[in-house]
Amino acid sequence: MSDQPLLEVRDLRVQYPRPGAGWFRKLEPVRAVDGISFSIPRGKTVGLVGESGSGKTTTGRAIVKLAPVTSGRILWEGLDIAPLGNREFLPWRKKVQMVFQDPYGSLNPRADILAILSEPLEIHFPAMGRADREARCAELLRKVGLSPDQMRRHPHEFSGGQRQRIGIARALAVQPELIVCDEPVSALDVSVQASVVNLLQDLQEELGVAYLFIAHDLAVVEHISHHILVMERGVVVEQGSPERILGSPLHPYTRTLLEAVPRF
Amino acid sequence: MAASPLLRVRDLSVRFLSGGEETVASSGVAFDLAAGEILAVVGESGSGKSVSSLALTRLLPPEPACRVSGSAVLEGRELIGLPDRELTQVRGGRIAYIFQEPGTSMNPVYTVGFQIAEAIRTHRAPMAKAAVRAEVEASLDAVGIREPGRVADSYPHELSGGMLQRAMIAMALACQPRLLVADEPTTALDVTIQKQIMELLARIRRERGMAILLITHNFGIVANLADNVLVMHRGQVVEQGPVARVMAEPRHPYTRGLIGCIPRLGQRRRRLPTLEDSLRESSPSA
Repeated sequence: MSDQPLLEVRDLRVQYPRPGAGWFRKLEPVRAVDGISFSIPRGKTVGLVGESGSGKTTTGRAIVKLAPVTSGRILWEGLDIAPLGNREFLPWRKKVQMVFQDPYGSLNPRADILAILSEPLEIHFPAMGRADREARCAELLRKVGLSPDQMRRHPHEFSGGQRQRIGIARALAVQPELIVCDEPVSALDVSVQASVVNLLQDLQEELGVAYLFIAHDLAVVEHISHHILVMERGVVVEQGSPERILGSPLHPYTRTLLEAVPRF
Repeated sequence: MAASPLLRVRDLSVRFLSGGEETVASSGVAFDLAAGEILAVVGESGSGKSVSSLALTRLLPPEPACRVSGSAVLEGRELIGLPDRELTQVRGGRIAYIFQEPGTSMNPVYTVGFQIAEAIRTHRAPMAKAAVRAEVEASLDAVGIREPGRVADSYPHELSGGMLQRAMIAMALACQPRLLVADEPTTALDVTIQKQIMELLARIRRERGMAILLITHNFGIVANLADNVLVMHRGQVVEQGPVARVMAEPRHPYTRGLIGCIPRLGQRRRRLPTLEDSLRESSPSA
């Protein structure tokens, strides 16, 4: 592997104005992400754990430009993509995709599966013909373990686990190099969770895609990750290999998280 | 164990009728629940675990859209077929419920304290306004809320998920029910909050001798909290017994699958076993 990571985040900060602040009422901004640094190697999974409000989701959203970056650098193969405007960022949108937590809220209920999977193709591969798009969608559905016959169905006809597979297929449509998975299995039954986690691992092996896997469940993160970041209140309090984090957690917060996982 | 259990359920079935088609949501469910016992009902979405617990007090659509049959006897009284007026007394009064989404279980336009007070006024002997307020604060205090006064005056959106779930439990306890039905009480919460809520439920059982029917899909929670477990699959009970026995030697392949698919800390495996794996292994035709 080359030395250069696929993505490198340096001293990233994301701040929001505090509710109630205005021209005459200066308040300290909310520091959702407060100076974090990490890198994601090509084809590997970096797990990001933390609780609600720790800034893990904001970090993921900042990488795909769904959250405003206040300061810091996001280096894609060495090139800073943080200052790019939406238009200049477009080529990178193809490389970084996102899978969302809520398999119900993240698919347009009025579009069928073909339309949902076609949309990213229309944007990023405008030269692609209708027949090619349909063939690509069929291939994507097969890849995530669904049947191409289901292409004309709507999201409400699928279970939560199947919808999450559709969300993964949509992210894969444009052949990204990195997928930010924001709590992709938290809303699913444990049994369905296992099959979606396996699917993500299979896809990584087959396609060499890297993941930023965001979750609050350390057991799942440990299972899927090559490297783990622990976030609390906007900062990374600890990072390392899963073996190290589990075997000898250094930060008290990591220990609290570890103790909270039910054991049996 | 006492001669007669707190709750005795026999052959409980729930059927839904829609568009002339009948769907059996659960059938032939049977179990005993003793006072002070925590019984976990485990199964996936659609296994009939929630529906069975809602059937106890008929928190389900009316006939003929939904038909409940069988028997559920609470403290000697048959609940199935009880008229609505009497059921209202049982709901909240004898059997209280807490649900997965504490945020949506509360009315957003009333304060938390108002809603707990409403439950107290409905189910307990009449008391003065100040006494009700004192009860509200005492019930919030009992679930480990540090500033009961402030929380009572808060609206649901002003509280965090863990705080709201505590308030829901406080509301459930305020009526001094005999049985608490906790339907996925921690699924929507962070792991550390999840642990706190589980500890709270264990304490409530210990201090009040209240029975808890814990509905979950996660065996990790069952192992740490419940005495006995009932595994449901496609509307039927496929296995039941003491937690230690079921966890150590699950007899039904579905139970094995549910236990096996949970990632465990410090036991990295290349793949997570899925339910399909364990069901396939056990079927002789495969």
